[in-house]
Amino acid sequence: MARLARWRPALRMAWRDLLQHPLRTVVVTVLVALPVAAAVVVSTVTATTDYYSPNTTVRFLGAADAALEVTPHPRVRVATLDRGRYVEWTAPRRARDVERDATQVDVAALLPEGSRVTRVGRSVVPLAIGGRLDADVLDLDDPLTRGLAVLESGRAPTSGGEVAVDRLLADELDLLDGDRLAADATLSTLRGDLEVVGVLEPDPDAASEAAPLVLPPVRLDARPDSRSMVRYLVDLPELTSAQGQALQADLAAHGVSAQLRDATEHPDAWGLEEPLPSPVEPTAVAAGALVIGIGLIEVLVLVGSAFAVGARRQTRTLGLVMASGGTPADVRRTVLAQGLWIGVAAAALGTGAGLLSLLLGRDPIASLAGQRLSVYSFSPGTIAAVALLGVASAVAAAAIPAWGVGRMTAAESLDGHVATASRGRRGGRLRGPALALLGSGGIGLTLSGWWISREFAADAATPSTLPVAAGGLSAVVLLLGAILATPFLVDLLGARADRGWLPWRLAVRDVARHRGRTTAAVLGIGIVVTGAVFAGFGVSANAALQEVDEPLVPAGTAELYLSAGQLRDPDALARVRTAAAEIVGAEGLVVAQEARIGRRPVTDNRGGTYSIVDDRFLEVMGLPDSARRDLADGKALVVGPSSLRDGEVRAVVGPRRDRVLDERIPGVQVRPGFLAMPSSVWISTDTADRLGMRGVPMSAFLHADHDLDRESLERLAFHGIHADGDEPQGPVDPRLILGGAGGVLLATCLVVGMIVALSASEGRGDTATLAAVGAPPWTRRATSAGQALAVGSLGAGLGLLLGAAGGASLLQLVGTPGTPVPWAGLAVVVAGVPLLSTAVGWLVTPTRLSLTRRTG
Amino acid sequence: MSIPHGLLALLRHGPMYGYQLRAEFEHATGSTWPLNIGQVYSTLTRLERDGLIEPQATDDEGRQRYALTAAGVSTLGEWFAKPVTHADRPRDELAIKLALASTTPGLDVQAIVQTQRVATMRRLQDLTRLKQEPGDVGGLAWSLVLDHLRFSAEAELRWLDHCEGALLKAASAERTRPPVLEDAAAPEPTEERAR
Amino acid sequence: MNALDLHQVDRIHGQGNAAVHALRGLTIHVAAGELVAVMGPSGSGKSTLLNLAGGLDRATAGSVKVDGVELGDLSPKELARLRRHKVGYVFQDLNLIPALTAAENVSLPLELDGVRRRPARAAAEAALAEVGLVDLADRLPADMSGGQQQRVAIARAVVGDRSLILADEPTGALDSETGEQVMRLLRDRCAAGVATLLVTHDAAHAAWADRIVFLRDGAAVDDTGARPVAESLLTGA
Repeated sequence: MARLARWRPALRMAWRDLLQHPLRTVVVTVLVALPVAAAVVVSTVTATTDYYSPNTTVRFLGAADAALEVTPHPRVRVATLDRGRYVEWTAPRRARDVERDATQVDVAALLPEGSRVTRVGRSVVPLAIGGRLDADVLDLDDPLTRGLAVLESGRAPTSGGEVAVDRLLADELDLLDGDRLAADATLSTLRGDLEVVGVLEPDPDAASEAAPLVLPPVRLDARPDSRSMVRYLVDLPELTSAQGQALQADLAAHGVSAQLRDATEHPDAWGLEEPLPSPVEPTAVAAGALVIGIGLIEVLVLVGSAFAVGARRQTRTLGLVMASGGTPADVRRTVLAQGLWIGVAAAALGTGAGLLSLLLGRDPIASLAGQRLSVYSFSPGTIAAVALLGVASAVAAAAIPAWGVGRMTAAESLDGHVATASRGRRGGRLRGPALALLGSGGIGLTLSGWWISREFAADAATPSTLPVAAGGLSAVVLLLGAILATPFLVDLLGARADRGWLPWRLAVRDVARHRGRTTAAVLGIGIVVTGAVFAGFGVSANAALQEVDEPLVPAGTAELYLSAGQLRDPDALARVRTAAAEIVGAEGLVVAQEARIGRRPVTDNRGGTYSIVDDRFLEVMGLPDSARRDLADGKALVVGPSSLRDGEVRAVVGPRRDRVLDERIPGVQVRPGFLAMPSSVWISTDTADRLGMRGVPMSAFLHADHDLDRESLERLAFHGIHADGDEPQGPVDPRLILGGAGGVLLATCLVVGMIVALSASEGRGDTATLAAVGAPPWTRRATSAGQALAVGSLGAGLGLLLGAAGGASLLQLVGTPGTPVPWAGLAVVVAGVPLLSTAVGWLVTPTRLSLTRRTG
Repeated sequence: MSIPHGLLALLRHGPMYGYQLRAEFEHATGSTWPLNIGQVYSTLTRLERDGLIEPQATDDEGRQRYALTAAGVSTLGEWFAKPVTHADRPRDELAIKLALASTTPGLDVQAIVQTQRVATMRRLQDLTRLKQEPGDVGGLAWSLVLDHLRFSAEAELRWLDHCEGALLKAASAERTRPPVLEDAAAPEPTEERAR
Repeated sequence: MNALDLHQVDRIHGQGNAAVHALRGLTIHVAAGELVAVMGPSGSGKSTLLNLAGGLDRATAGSVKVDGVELGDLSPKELARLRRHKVGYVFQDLNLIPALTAAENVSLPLELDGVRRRPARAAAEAALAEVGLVDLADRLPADMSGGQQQRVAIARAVVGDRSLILADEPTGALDSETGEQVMRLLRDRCAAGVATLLVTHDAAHAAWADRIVFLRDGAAVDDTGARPVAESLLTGA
């Protein structure tokens, strides 16, 4: 108890001191709270978007207790997999051949009393324009469907002629009037017009299977089709897990497959296996660790320097504590206590802010996370751990100045000694190690970079992560060396400040005198800039990546995904062609047909199939004239892995015992160089006829005289025409780039502002002298701006070097030989950060030059 | 020290006889300037001769009382109004002593200064102790006199510090001058040391 | 046993040619209930003396004893303990921690020692009562006059029954009236049995002491010594 009692005066003094300097306290608390808030948000979103979270369950179960599928078989066997998220049914042999009309099954009778069902399903709506859109069949008014689709405005469709439409689709089809539906919004389909009565919220998940349309369940009644799925969502009364399992078994005995929510909530009661842990991507982990590490160092550096100044200004108080019988430990406690209070406040603030932004910013977060967030999964353990980490980081940040202050003798502190560079002599012996670390780190990075580029060159099987680890280690060594070397850099700067404009000289001398504070600021800015530069390298590497991969389709083309019916229907094809021409200005489409005899496909006996193509097709595919001539001559164009033998390729149909065709055709190898080519061997129509083959349309390609980019293809998709072009797989979301840039700017402003304020508060005596001597008021501003410029330039330079070194070497793993340098971004950093710093320094200067008494 | 004026001031209160005057005088000055009765009577005679006081009728016990004349009142008034000048004060022996010591060869003047300092400090201690003591030894008049003594002692100590500084400076200037032919005699060893 | 004994104490800063002898062969004794003043020009070692007496600094040679305990034998923790229990410091100004109230400042040594809140507060109030400032117990230093601050500092120096006060120019920043108040207070404490070692420039205040020691260049050159009061001052000039 006595131990705790010794903390009391320290805690009390720290609390009062923090209250007496509100601005500094608020800034430092916010600095520590920001990472806490970010961590709370990120961890919650990660837990929520995990495949095994309740949020994911909503996507297929809505708000229902169970989803039923009435199979065509009278009896089925059901297996619950994937922790309840997937149910597989199989028909036992005897039941397999017996089929029944699933629509006639009275499901309600099979369920316990108090249950309620609502019909759901899936449908396809063929648009008049030629495309086909998927539609979910749901009763949007029924609470059970909540979460499957969200109605933004209007009302749910109820009658057979009504439909609800995704907002983006409605926008594309001009159905909106501002934010509301237009007066007579209709969707033209091949089977008549549908009245659009509601607008759906778009699903942030770009790869989701949610349909852009919602139809009411009555549509399903109108077209009974024994082949279609009969599915229901069910609201069950309270059941135990055992009862649930019994129900599932009972339903299965009646040929109904049931997926119960209870299985996802109590997988152990259902006896379900632990899921396989998802493989951890080393790059993601490394990136995450890097970000966390950078964030922590940033907090330590910034917050530590704020505490350091606070501690120095309190030297008199600390001397009094010692004179009153405090040990150096008591003195340290006084500074640590400040860290403790700030840590607690920041943890509370950060956690609160994080939770608040989760609640208020659900939509933007959902769109960044790429998933609708219906049910948050809060992990109290993680949040508590993050909060504790916040407290710990604040205490750790206070520990360094606490240790330093505890080493001052009582006599020094009673004299009001401010620790300045007079103790610099001692630091001289760190120069050697600093240079050694810098050198070895730099060499290590270079070597690792070279090693990584070798390992991760294209076609490598599974590249080992060893070079990445080595690179990471070298980066850390380099960073440590930079941290140790920074004070000497500062010294160098100070040593050359003999000429020039007075405010500049004052600024540089002051910066050099307070080595500790300056080093902290330079590191603070430097680390942020390092992260930004590194990220810049990453973004440009990512962009470069897109151009090097083997393209999917030739430029100006896109592969169409049409149904078999559409492909065989010339009218349908004509409609698609017209629609594509209208919407994206496509010139036309070409079709490749699969070669068959009877119902069996023709193969080359090596697993490759035959396609029948025409000249137009070859032209669109970008093949040279020689290929066309060869095709006309009756040769086969071998597109895939070579099955040529002595200039001939086999054509076989049927199993070995029952060969219908076995011929050899002269062939020639061509390499169109695209990944999405149909089949392996192409022949002309004549050759096919000669061999008795017929063609079944299998694949189609759109072509245009311009590139069909992602935006065009998305517009096509709105009209129900789905095509795939040669799109880069995932450019970085521009919002992340903006966010990152904004973060860098904010951090720079905060760091510089704090440094200027700290130096102003310490230099009040100098300010008063300047005023007394008659310096014009802007002199002080100019001096602060000069300090900020010096600090900002050093920080930017440091960050540039470190970030470029790290980026150039570590990003070799993206598979590109050499690394594209983000020149634009670098220029912004080189010029922008120092300028911004100077501006902040100029603005933040306190100009009231009052004569204050030296506080000892 | 002006005994006549002091007696005149006392008679301002009213007629008094000799012994009474003496008692009052000592009371008013806290016995710092003790008078014997002979001094009192001889002063009274002189004052009467100068026409500043006049005898009153003897009282029942046969004691002769005196009272102020008009001339006496105006003389007293002038005395109070006129500031005390340097000429009225006694010469300060210490100042003369140190001034001479500083020019006398073969003397450890610093030791002299230190000895005086200790003595003056002791005096100041005693005076301060007196001030702490309760009691109505003369009331306000007495405490004013006491404070005068204290402040004087303090001033003397400050002057001694100043002398010491001046002596040190002169000594170092002396050392940088070219040596004089005859040596000063070896300084006497000083004996005062901390007890 | 004396409250404070220094015997042939040296304190040297630095080494070789740059060595500075702050104190040379200094011997001083302060008995319980005694008020000893130390006077001397600046640089004579007065502050060093006070730092050594309270264990804030260590002597290079010689012995420093507080209540018979040799400070050179104590570890830093034990020295801190000494300052919590036996020794109290009063400085010229900025004695109080601005963030704490008067009572909290006074109880600081006790709280650092682990004394619980209530008894510490009670002791602080008792000490404040002795200096006549119980009403200011919950006031912050910024709201007090210089003299009041000094008296609070004295209360802190005596709280919990200490035996030695070390005062460094306690009246330096005060006007003479207030300064006298402070000296009177110190005298009262001495009457109660506390020993005080007082460093001062001011002869008038030094004269309140039982003994005045003169320091020059780190050594004691003279000492007024205790004398009987009976000796008449009437013979003085």
